[in-house]
Amino acid sequence: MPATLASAQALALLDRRRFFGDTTRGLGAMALASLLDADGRLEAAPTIDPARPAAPRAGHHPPRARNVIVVFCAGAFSQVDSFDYKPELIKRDGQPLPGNERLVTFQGENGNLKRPLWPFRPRGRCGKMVSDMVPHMGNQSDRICYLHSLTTKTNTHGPAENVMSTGFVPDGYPSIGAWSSYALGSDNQDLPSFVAIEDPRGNPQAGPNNWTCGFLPAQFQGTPFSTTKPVRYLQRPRGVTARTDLAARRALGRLNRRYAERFPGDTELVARLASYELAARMQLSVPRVTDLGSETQETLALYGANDPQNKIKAQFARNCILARRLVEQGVRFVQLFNGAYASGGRLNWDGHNKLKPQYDHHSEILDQPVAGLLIDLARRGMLEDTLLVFCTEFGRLPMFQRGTLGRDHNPRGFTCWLAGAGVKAPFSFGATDDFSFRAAENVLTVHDFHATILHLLGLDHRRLTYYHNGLQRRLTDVHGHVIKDILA
Amino acid sequence: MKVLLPFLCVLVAAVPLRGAAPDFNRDIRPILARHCLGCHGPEKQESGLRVDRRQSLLVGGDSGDPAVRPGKPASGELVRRITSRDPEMMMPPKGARLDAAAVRTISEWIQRGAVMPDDADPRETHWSFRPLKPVPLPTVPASASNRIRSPIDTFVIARLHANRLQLSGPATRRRLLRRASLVITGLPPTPTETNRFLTDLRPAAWERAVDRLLASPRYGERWAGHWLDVVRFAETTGYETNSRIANAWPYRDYVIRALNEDRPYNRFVFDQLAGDTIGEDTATGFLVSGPRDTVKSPDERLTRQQRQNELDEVISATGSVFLGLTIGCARCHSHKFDPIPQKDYYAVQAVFSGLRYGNRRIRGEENDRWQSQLPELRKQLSTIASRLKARKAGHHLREPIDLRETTETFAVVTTRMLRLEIHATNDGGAPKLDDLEAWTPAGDPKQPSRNVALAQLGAVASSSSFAMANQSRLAENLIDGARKLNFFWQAAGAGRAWITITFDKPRAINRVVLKSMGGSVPVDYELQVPDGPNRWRPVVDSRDRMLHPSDRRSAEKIRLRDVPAAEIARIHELTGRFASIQGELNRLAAGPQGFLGSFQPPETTYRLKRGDPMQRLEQVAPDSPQLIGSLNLDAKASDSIRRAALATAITSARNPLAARVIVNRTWQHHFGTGLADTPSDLGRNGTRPTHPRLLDWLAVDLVQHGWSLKHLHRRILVSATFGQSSRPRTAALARDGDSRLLWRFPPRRLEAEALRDSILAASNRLDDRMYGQGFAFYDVPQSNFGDYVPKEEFTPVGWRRMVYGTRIRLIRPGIFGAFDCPDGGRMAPKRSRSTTPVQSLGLFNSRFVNRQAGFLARRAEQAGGDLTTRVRAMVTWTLGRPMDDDERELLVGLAREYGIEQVGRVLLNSNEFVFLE
Repeated sequence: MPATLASAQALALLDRRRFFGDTTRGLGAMALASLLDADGRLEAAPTIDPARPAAPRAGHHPPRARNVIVVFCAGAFSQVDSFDYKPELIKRDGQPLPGNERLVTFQGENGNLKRPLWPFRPRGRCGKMVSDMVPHMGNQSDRICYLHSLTTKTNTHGPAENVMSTGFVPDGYPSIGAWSSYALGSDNQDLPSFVAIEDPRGNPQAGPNNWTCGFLPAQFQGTPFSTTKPVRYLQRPRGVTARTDLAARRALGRLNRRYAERFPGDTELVARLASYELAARMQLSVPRVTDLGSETQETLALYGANDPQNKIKAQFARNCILARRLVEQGVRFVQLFNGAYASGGRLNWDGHNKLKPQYDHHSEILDQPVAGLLIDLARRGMLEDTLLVFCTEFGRLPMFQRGTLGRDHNPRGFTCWLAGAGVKAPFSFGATDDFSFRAAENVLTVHDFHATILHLLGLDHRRLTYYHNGLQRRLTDVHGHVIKDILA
Repeated sequence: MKVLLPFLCVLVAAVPLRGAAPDFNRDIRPILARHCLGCHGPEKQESGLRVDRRQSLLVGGDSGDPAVRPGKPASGELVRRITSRDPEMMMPPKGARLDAAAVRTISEWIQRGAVMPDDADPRETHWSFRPLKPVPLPTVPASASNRIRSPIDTFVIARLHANRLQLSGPATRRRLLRRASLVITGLPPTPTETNRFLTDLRPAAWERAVDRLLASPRYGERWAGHWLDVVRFAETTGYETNSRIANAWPYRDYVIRALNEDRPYNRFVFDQLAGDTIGEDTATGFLVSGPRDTVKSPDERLTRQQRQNELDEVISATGSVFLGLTIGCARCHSHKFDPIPQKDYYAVQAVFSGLRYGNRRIRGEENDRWQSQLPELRKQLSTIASRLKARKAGHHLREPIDLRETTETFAVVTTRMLRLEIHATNDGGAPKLDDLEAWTPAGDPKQPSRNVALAQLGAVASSSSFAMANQSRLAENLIDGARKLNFFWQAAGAGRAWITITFDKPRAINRVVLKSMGGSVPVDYELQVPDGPNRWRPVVDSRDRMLHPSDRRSAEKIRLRDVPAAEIARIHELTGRFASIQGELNRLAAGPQGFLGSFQPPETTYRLKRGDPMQRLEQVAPDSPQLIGSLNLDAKASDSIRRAALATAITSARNPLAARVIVNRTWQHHFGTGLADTPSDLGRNGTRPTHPRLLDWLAVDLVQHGWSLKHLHRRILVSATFGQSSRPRTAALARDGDSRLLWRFPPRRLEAEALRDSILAASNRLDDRMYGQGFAFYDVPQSNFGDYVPKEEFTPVGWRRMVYGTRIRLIRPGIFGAFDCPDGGRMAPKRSRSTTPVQSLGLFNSRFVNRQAGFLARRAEQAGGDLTTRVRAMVTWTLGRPMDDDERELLVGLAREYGIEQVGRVLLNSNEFVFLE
């Protein structure tokens, strides 16, 4: 963007500051009043200043994490073949699962137990057993807190993605990122407080419902963009010069300010003025944050972002770097997707038919970039107050499906992990049975998982509420317990 | 609008959220449930104490000491006992003690008065459950009596007076007309309409203007939008496939038409629940307007869960939409606030248990017209059929292939392998088969004929290629021995393909069955067995079969044994005509179809333990929620009787909720907020209305006036309350920042639809064609999985009113979706009203708005005159008023230097354009 425009916009900003200064002084004598408070409900909900909806807000208790990055493996990532080491399963390879010989699951009948398709070996100083499918992540086990006993409510991808992102099976409930930015605002006023970074191969199954604001106000919805897909309408219209654009913007500002003077005290008008200014700032800040030109070769190599052999891996790695850059800039919540929509396992982790070759392909894309992100966050000191979450909608069964070379859905027991701010590491919590079939020890729900993430952000999941259609809604519905054992 | 409080954000940042008082249901009940309710709850009341009843807590148990003294936590038995260490005293006597935080929360709750829902029967105490009775008008101070234009004003003025407030002065006539136009029609008035009203100086000019607005067909379009929000109408299934439902729009049209006709509201309700019983077929789209999971599975738990979820959509919607009750809360347990036992939920489920999501015939004139054409078509068809039959016999052709299952028999061969070579399919698509069976000869009683092409017998299948899909279309699906929806074989692409099956050992076979899935059925194929290495010899082929009517190959591509080309062309032509007449016949016989739900005999309904579909308890008979009485239905009552009975009960005089709910919703869309601001919950967890007596007065008035919604609109529109200015007054703002007491008309941002429609009206490009198939708001997805991309560029068909845009679940419609337009996932009885930079980017930079700004500029140029005249016209078309001097200087200057389109862009983005004041 030409330098003259930037300085011209700075001028427009000054204009705005003068205006806001005047308005706020003029309102000094007023107080917020509502005669209806007595009839109102008890709410532990945050108060949003319409003029600065993304202003930072304090939570219920001091936070351990200021920011969150969620890596979401769409399609159901196999814990059996990666993180959940089960010697008994290896021993009983080819035998029926005891007690469940003819189990019928999502796609039908299952065959015999099938050992992991990659060998496991001890990783890191802690010696955590992780398979060769994800060696880079495995090698970071000293920094990771594994949760091996997650369970979820459904064995269908879309609804289960909904559960993982919003806590509910049906569509339309606010996602955890929306709840977080609703509660806490953002530390950066020039970027959206919640960003969803799509996989270069496409959207996950539940699509935008993963980053929806549901019934929360629209400003808390995730803004989707990535290194390959820009923010919509960010740039001025084709055929309009920077000078013309600025002139129109100024004329609009003048009209709107004159109008607002007729409604002193009405914040929606002020908020609209402010929103045009943030939009103008985003025109500078978004291209700046998505431009990885200032990253060193060494950093790019750490993530695998310059891998000439694997274009998708390089693109995903660049998205990982973008996630770090966003958090560096104070963006509250970043959702980073690995895997696209249903495609017979071709574009995501849904390994029903040919798990081995498909996962070889997918793990190549996933492994080094996510490990690189973890290393990079750690060496920059960002892991102190950034929580890195690795999750998926459910796991996979320890058997092959009858007549295929892949595994069916397993909502009864799967692995997710956390790293960074406020969680123990190296640490493993919860366990499945001897076959990774069913969570058996310290069984966790997705609500517990959410309650814990909110807790680390300084929020009490029982008190973070929003009234909708007859109910004080929560991310965790009426469930969820903070997993205290994993807090550092 | 809220008032800006300076330093508000500073305050909020400094005070953590912990300031709020504990709430009984949110904070206290869970603690009691964990530690106390087992012995002192609904089941058991040891020592005569029940801790979830306030009365019991205040009186105390057998000891006679109050368990709770509100305001004095330390002196009640409850806190004393949960903190005691004396084994005789302490509670609970065994098990986990209450932790310090729990004790603190309980103490704080008692300190603040131990507020909890009262125990009395809410049917007598809660405002919305009480019967509707005539309400006398309140007295108004003489000083304000000259402002009264409608009975509404007496209630509003009286309440304002009690709070030392008064109505604002009247809005200007110009502004009032713009306000009412936007509220009633969703469009600003045209300059002609404005002039006509401004120059009408006769009495009752306003009443006439109101009547004109209510008579406009634009009214139904505008208010249908509100209704469709509440029922979360959309034209895709939602969930992960989010597939298009192409014929859901007749329900949208029903709503528009019914509102424009001012159909009585009680009838409007009945139509939507049971319209099929009175010939109002399209209204029942309501029943299937919710999202549903269409990904089916053999997993029993999942299947039952999906059915429960489908029914839950209609139960919850019926409760919320018509009754303002959250019946859905009683799915797992009795309602925590309202008198809705869990059984009620399943009684309502039984009412709807005959409902299936699907299409139904729309009866009526169009259907009759279609049916009358059938005999003629049948005659034509039979003529062609007999000519085809003669040709088939003449050329000694066999029966055509069967779209589901074709059997080929041949002399017994003993072979280890079988090959099917496919040359062509009926529709030219990639060949597709569910199963390929090879049968051993019949006749030997010891070894009955059986299919040996089965994986479980050791057979192996391979193919030239297979398609990638959610579940890959592998050749092994051909020998899985079952028809399964997602498990069939399909080649990767169109054209030739082959399949081989290798048996476990050489097998004697004399019959092969090709089982199809429908679509892309092989029509030209050859079955082969090995004839030396890499060589195959034919056993049988399809070239002596008559053409199938679905065969869409061109004549010159078809080979039939011993039939000359000219004859093939003739047969081809005849089968083509047969197929097209057959298709038309089928279409007409089915009649016009709408996605309106299909009705079947009711399923048996069970109460489910904690809502778990696998844990069935007792059977439940159909009934209404007991709160509105009983339907007294026979347990065997038919589906339509069940629904009709519920529909009648909802709008019966015995149920006060229906009228209150619709009055409140109607009020909401005039003033921006309902009298009760929880429009789909008037139960005990909802908020009390600001003006309960006004709400009741209007509800009684509505029923007395034949449930006419237009009557209700008129009442509101002619009131001084609606007609007052929207300007803020400092003192009033300080007392009632949200303007809920209506000391002014509360200004608000326009909704997405009104904004888009107004832009198109300003640019004069609005296409006001009504009804029918909607316009595409999205580009067609690339995959089956919901990648709907909102369109950037609209052709003129996309310049219809937004209510006619296809509604896709989960995806908010482009730049206008950012303006809090709901996505059809959940019911949206009220929209949030947010302000975001994404809105600004869309409205300022998008192709859509800039193109319309260009049209607006061109419209001004065509109207002629100098630059000032043109700019003045643009201000009139957008803001509906003359341009002032400041604006002239600013906008004419902008136009001169940067082009007149920029004036359009600025005006369409201006607050005055975007706000309803």
